[in-house]
Amino acid sequence: MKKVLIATLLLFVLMGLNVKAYTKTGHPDVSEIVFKDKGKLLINMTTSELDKAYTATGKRCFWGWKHHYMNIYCKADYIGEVIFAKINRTSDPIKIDYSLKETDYIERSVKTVGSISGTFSGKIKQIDCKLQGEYRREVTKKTTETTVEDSAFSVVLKPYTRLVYHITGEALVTNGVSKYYVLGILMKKGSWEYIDIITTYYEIYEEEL
Amino acid sequence: MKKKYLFISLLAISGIIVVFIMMRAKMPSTVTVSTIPKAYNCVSLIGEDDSITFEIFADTKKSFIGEAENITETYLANEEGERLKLKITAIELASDEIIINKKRYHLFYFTFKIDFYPATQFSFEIDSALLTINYRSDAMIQINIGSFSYYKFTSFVTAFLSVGKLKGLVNEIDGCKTLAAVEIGLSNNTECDLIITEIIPLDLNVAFSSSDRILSIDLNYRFDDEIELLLGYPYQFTPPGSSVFTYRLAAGEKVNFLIPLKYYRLLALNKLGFIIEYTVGGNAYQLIYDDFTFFNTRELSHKTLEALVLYTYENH
Repeated sequence: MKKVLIATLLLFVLMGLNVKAYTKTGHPDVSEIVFKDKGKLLINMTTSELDKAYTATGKRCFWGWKHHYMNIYCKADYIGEVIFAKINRTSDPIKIDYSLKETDYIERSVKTVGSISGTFSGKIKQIDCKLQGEYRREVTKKTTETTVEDSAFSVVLKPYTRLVYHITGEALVTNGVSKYYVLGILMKKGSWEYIDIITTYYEIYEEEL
Repeated sequence: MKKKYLFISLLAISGIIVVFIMMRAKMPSTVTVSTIPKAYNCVSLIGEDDSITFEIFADTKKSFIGEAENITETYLANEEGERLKLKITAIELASDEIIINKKRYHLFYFTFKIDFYPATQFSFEIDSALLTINYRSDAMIQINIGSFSYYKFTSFVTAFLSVGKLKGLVNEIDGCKTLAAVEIGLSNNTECDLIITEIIPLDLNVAFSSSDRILSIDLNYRFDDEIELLLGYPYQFTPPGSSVFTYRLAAGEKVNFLIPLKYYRLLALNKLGFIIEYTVGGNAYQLIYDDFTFFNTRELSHKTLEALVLYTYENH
């Protein structure tokens, strides 16, 4: 029995099985999303909803991609995450210097399902550019792929207290399905979703142990 | 076989032509730059290094402005010509492109170290701050970045009073997401009464409206709730009036205040430090909290972008 277990584990390792944490959103780095008005995450869509979306991509083409968007820039709350929690169990105050870099947390989370996986992430940027042009909102957004220091502070943690640094924010959710044709033959199809974190709010609070 | 050689030759010639064209591609003759004016501030201890990052849009990636190695001098100056020297540490190009007045702009992050090391407590406030960058080629760019408030202190904390909570309320005023109020949790760590006599924000554009403060220990609110919803009456962000903050904090007591802000000049403000003045047993003390980032946004309002001042320079 042990041999079978070891062999199975070895097989998983050899197959490069990627075990990721389960989250309610289907995005490993986004713990929870609550839509402000309307919107639905890919993980909550039924098979029939996805089938309808694939049908909505329209007639096959000779060559290239066909997309159908289910949600475009749907406003949502990105439910908090504790960036750090420090506990002082001593009888002396402790000074904490903290700096958070923008690169320490995500700005965009991309999920792809189906045969488009692996190659589609680059396509998302093109889709986003196209949508930004077509769906002119009151605001546009920038990415911050930089190592610029984002937030730094010093704080004194009192004896027998816990200090929590918490982050929450606003996100835009866009998802859809895509099909890829070569010489009129369907080569790839799948669903995708990207979540852009557009505003982050920081809070710091102290709790007694 | 001949066809194969012909094809390879054509491919090689095409490749050479492409490389030649790319090498010959000229830099644009002008470069237009801009930035969104913001309320920049920095609070730190004497002896600490400080840095500041400005977001600068440029209509081309190929220009002298992004050449950090060619920068000879940088400073922030006010209209009277007083200067604060800066030293470039990095110029980074963000991947996204921003449309301003139907033209494509690239976003650069210019990070500078503040090249000034005071030995004593110091403050420097520039209402209308001009960022000047001089280059080796005698080129120079000058951009109004908004305001800059810089404070250096000898020490921050005192043992008698401590800050146990910080949370910002963010509202959109004239298309600009900015701090509308700040929640500050305070605790009296002494065994006698402590009197808070003043809370002063460390940014030249704002003042706390102490008369509009509310006790917020049991107040549940979202970060982006409208301030009027929490106050229960209409609220004007300008102009600041005179309001005095007085509160007696009993021994060991904890209290949270949500204190609205008033703006002298409306510039986006996302981080803020403050001074709390208080007395214990008739002696006056100060608690200084360094600049805390309450929020960050990647949203850029079209209204703001369309109103930007564009600066065009010859591309050296």
